[in-house]
Amino acid sequence: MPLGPGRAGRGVIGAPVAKAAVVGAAVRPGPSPVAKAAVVGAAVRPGPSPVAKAAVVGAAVTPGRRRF
Amino acid sequence: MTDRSLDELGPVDYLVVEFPAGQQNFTGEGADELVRLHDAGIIRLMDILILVKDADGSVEAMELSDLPELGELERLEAQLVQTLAEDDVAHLAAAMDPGSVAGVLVYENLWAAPFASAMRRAGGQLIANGRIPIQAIIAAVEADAALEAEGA
Repeated sequence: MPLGPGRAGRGVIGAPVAKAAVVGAAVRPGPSPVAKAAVVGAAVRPGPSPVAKAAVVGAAVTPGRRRF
Repeated sequence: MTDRSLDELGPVDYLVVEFPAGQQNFTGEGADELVRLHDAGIIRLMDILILVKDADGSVEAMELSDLPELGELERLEAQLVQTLAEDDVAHLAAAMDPGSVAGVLVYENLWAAPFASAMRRAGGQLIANGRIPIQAIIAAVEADAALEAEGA
């Protein structure tokens, strides 16, 4: 089914979208390469327990916590 | 577009939500939630495309109006502004697996518009933004815990 004439013209996305955006974000250069490498490894593995992890996330956003 | 000036426009984001082959359970719940966000003034839905990627990698793009049943989305369909061009389809579909269906949403973050305008009036300019995956936060916390355990 072709798109309508309103779809002609210049696009706004600009480049092919990558599915691996999660991994890409985690491997950007940063202040803590060791920790980030661990993040990438864990981020692409299936999690064992959503309930337990939800509690962990809650801890991560506790006010006052800073990871440098 | 509405009669709002560009300076009042909030950040515009897009999402590509893929439904892999064999995992497509469309009940209308997602559409209802989208309409709720729009009606609540949290976002302004600007554009929707539905992409279908065949097993051979070919991509078909459909307008919302091509769907047989729109439900609550029908009310918003007339307000869409066709932000995406045909040129964008291949770029967006690059992330899809063969056999999958994806919904592409473009929306203005209305909740952020007043703050963004205030920052611009103050001379500020956005130099970085992004999303931190929840998985990355979880993994970082777990990595910290592991390091603490090693040091204990």
